[in-house]
Amino acid sequence: MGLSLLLLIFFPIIMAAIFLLFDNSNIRKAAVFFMSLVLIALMAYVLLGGSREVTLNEGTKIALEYLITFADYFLMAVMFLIGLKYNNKIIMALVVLQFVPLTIFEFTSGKIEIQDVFYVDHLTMIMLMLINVVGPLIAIFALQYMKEHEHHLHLKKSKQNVFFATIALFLGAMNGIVLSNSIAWIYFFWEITTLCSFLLISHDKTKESINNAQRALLLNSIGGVAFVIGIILTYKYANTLEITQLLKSGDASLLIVPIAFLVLAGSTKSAQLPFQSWLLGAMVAPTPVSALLHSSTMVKAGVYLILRLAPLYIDNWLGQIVAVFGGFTFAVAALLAITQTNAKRILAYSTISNLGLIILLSSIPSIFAIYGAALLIVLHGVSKALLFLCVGTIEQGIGSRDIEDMDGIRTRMPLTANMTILGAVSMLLPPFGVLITKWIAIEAATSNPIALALVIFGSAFTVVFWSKFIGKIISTDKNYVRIEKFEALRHTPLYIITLLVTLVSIFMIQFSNTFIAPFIKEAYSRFSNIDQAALENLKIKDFMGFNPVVFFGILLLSIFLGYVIYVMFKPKRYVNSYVSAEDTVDGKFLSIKDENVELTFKNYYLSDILSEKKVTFAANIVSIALIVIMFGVIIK
Amino acid sequence: MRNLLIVLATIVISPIIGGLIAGIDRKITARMQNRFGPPILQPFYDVVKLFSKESIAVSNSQFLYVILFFIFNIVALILFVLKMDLLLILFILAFAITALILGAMSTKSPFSRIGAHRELISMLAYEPILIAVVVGIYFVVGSFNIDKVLETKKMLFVELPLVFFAFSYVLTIKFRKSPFDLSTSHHGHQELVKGITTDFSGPMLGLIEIAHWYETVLLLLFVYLFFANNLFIAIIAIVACYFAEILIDNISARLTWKIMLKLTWSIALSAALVNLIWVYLKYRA
Repeated sequence: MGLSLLLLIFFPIIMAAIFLLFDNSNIRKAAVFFMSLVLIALMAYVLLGGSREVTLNEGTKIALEYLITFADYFLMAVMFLIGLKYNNKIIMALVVLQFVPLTIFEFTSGKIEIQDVFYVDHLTMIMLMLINVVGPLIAIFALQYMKEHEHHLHLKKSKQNVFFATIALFLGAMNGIVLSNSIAWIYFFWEITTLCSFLLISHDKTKESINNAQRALLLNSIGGVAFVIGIILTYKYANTLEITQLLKSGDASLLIVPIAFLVLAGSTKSAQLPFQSWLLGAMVAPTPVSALLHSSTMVKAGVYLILRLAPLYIDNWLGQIVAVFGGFTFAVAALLAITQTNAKRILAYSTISNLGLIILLSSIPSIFAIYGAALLIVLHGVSKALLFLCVGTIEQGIGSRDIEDMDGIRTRMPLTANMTILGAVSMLLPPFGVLITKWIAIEAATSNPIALALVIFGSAFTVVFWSKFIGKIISTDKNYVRIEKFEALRHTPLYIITLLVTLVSIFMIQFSNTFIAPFIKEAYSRFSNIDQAALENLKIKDFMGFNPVVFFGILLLSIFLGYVIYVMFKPKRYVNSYVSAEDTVDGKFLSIKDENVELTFKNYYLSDILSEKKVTFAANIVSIALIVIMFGVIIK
Repeated sequence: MRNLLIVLATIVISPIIGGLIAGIDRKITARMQNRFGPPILQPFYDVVKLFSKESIAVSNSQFLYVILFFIFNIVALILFVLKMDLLLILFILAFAITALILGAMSTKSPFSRIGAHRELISMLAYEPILIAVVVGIYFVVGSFNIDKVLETKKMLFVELPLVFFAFSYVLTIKFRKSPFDLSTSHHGHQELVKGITTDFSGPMLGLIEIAHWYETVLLLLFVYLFFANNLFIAIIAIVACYFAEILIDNISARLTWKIMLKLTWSIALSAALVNLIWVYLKYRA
């Protein structure tokens, strides 16, 4: 068993070396498919093995410990050199701030004994599914995308070998994060993802991409410093670095200070306010990178850590403040999304907002809230992967990622447009799951009125920006010519992810009972004021009266009914839109001097009452204040 | 079985009530304007006529959105009479209106798109208040389920007067009455033509009309919740409430969306929040 876990981490890393060495598109294609198959098989094998703590034999363990310690310092050296190369003193300072305490810690604490190296529980399984199913699909999509991308850039020499190597390394590191039982090891893999995101964001080597990559590195290094402090303090208070031991330890309130630092690290990685700017900057990267960062890697590592540690803080003051902190990001990021016309920026704000909701749900002591948090990690993962890949495809098709240019996209690119609609609908409307988690959030947050108010606002803002987005995509215009052909490499992953989005929503309840209920039982058996009897018999029948299967049934029925109504009143005649003017042809109308004027209409972006800059500025101040308050309350 | 009968009765009776309300509305409005006004059954004649008209469309997909609007209004009402979760009902209602917005946005007409965007902004204005209303009810009753709300001995209006005020404020927007008839209006050919419904005609428009009747009944049932322990007072409250809407409609002119957003959030939302704070402290803290 230990071997399969090691392989989940190290196999992609080996593949990364292969990608790097063989710069040949056929080998690369074969390698991507091979890696995908192996990862999915390994994941399935681990899932079947059930939940457990895994010890390795002494020799392997020690070798691994040396390897990780060595690689950790190597990684810091690399980051320091990046700082040096771009003459970014803050990055260098942040690396030193990690290096010095960590070295002192390693020398003074002596040998830190770790019993169980790996920990597989149901939360790990949920994350493994996300990483090893969605991740490879994105990699497959990238095969076609990157070819076209480099074609647009007119590169002399392809850099795809580096690109795919980084992606493989990224997936391996993510598996490492979710499998490791020691927070010191999590930190190591955590730093690899930081480095990978730097490499991927700066991939195109334009001035803008390099700047944005540096910002990502900088903000994530702040998280790294918080992580190191968290590690040291955890060891000081609990005398162990193993998550399983921490979860079992008696009084969780002792650990409140180190946990707060780790939560802070988690929120930098999840791009929570005031750290959101790195994720927005990350958009300059090729689209598969965005899809990866937003769905199955990077930002999910942050919420994973927070949900993992939640049993340790959920029943004290820290939980309440973290809930407000998450709720604030949820509301403000959704508000900012309203002001955007750039599709990728809308998606980015929506991710930040949803991650805020996950953090809020993780921090509320209610079984339903934790359900919602774990469920939303998955639902958001699949939907966002789909949306980013679709937007990337549209961008390559029409040469723009501005939603104002997407009028009539259903005529031009019907395959992708329809999947985009499904993806966006799944983020907004019933019977898809994301709505359920918002609902859970409102019901659960009644115990925390400030968080509740934030959820209420965020939920209203969400409706506005998604409706605008969907409204643009569905607009029909027969004047356009279809420009899209079916491309197997590009569209098959899209179809599979579309299927996943639908399946996850239909079988939400079964999914919750198989994976989330056991996770809650394992993680929350000792802590928090969750009702113990209810915890014992945890089995979900429906979400407060909402059964997705029934609702998909209603939807199917209404489509059938709709079809009947449609046949009854089928349009006999098609006309142009009414424009209240002297119509000429095709929705143009006669203006002064009988000129044909094309009808145009732009979405409302509320730009005269909401400016992104001002809102961001104010929100950053408030969120920094929230962080200060958080530490002020817990440090005695 | 009993539930099935209730559902069937709801589906059949509600549009009749809704249509009658619309007819009475028009009659009273006419009298306020010193006109004689149409017969009370006029809305039914209108709808029958709409269905007998030639079916003309701008695009096929319009139909889908209209039907979703129609069906999900009914679903929301059914969930109410089956005494289910209030939040779920709000979400379904939001889904219905989103479908109509999308229907309007799927055409090219700038008028219907302006209507759609104004409707979106209306949603932005009223959605938080509707949720605040439901949360207020939760704070008092301790449940989001209507059956629990109906079991309580308290008159919710007494506990939640400001929340009720906010709700009736929102009703003006939901019924699309002046000064908040931003997205569409029954009154003639104004600057937005027919707004969100510009590109719907014939049977499609008929379906939208009937869906509004269901919606009207549902919204008035929300008023009923505030007075649920006394049927007599409840009926008086509903009548008074609707009359007030007609009166306001007739004495005010349309506001711009910015003013609406500001007014709604400053007056109605703060009123609701103040009320929420005190019931939270009273019952939940």
